[in-house]
Amino acid sequence: MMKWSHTLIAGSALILLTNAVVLLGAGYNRDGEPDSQLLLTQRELQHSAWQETRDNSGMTLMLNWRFEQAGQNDLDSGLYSVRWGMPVWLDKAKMSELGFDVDKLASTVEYGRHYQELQPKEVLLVLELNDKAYQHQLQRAKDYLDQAKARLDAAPDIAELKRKEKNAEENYQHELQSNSRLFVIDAGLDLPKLRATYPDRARYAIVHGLIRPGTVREQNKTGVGGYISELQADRINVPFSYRQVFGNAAPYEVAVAFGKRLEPWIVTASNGAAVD
Amino acid sequence: MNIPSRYEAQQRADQIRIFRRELELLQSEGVLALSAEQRLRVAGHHCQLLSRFAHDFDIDRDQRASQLSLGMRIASLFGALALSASVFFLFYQFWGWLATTTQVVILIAAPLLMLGATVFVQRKDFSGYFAKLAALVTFACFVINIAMLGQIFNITPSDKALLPWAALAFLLAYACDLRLLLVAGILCMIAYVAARTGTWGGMYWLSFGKRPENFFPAAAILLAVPLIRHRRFASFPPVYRIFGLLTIFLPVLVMGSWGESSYLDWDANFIESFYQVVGFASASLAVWIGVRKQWPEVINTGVTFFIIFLYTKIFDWWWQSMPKYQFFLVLGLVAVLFLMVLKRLRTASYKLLQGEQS
Repeated sequence: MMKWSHTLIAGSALILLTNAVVLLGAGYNRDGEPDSQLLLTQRELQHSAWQETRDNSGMTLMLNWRFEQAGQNDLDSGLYSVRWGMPVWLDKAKMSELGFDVDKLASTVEYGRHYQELQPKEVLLVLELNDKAYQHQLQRAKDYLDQAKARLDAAPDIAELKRKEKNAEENYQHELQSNSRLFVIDAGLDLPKLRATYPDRARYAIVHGLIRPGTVREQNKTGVGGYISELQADRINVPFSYRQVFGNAAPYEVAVAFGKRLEPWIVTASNGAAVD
Repeated sequence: MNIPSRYEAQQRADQIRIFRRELELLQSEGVLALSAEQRLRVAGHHCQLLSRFAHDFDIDRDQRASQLSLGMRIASLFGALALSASVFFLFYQFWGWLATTTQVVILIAAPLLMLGATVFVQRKDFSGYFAKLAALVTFACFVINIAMLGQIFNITPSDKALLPWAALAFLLAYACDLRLLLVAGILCMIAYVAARTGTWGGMYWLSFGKRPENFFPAAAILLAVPLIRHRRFASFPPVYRIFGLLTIFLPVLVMGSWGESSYLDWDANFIESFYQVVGFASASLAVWIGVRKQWPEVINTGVTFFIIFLYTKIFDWWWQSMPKYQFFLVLGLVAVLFLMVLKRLRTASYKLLQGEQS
């Protein structure tokens, strides 16, 4: 057995060195100008109450991100702030650009033969706050509401049309007032290149994430696309100094910075300012 | 004679106990009669040895002590696990009410203090039960330390955390002669090497389990470690060999039934057949090496997996087609056949042993 003093020195050195590496990494992430800084509200940053239990006093906020879905029908358009399905921009060309073997994927739909190609890959994802993607989604909800109203005006006695119009109205109001305006709009492998494409650091954040390829059988052809299987910066720890901001039902506004390693942290948080 | 470890001291004490019983029998059967002086010398020597072992290692001197010590081992294992869970929940219970600096200081201080406590306990308690308890809590504190720092600073999860965890577990295992910590270190090491292998193969690190072949480099390392002489840690090489074999056999078992999970760019059915053959061959090889080298843990692991491979194949072939009574009859007959083969193997090894002795 080792001499006790050697154990103590070696163990302490290992513990301290590991902590130093972790803390220096966290410090490096927060050093200097952040890569981006977004001003988020309760619409995009949800207080995850389910994580707080009798045994866990920690507080975590969840980034409520969305994307425009491919193959969306009218009923789906913005009804909920969901994340299932394939993003509309994650098509065959984008998947190829991200390094997936799209030709092999498209050659047949048999899952077993594509196990290798169907593995997720680490990429960079671009988050857009309250811009074109949200406006587009809002417009779609408005169009759907207008269509539902027009159909109801043409046949005011049909109960089904009344229900659809009511749902469309609710959907539009949700989209206008409470749904998240934070959309994943692009993916890439090269951070400087993505930043050059999306230079506004107060509107576009770039984070690490995972994309998994997928295939869809359409009219005897295999369509290739992808799914966002994980967004790695979507849980943000609330420091003790900001706990009171999230301790009540009042709306809040939070400045979230994404540092050099694209890891987020809360810069400021306050109640009241956010009303939309 | 210099006894380097508690494990070897216990082995020697067990030998003495068996020797004393056998000597009594031999004397009562009139085969051997030691003179009074010889008996006294042997008994004195053994007493001296046992006293030294009891002082240095707190070994079990008799059958009753050995039965009690099994209970103590189980109690210390459960105690260690429960205390580790308690530390985890203690921090979780209050961490939200602490400022970030306080959180960080507590997280760093906890494993350091527990390390000091482990070293202190180890010096005072030669039995090793309390040292095992303290060492596992130290390891748990360090795991919580790094995991919680990751959560506090929203750090992207990384396989690199497994490396210092493995290093501390190995350090505590070798410093306090603890197999439990050795297992913890081995598991961290397996996960790290498999994750790295997966990353080199183009996978996301957390998906390493989806390609069972990622575990093979870790198996090679584990099987190579006992080649380094473990003179003072005689109980460690069998642990390395068992986990090395498990890291081979379990992936082979998975790929024998699920060829798509392999890196090999062959037809899935062919991959499955290939790994089934590899499974039988490697299990047989393990039994053969185990017999040759007298490594019981290798023989047992090899035999167990040979049977699992065989039963899996029999299930594939006949579960659907055979009436159930016939299917289980075949399983029973296979077990009988296996017993006969092992009996022959045992007889052959006796002959080998006799040949070596003469």
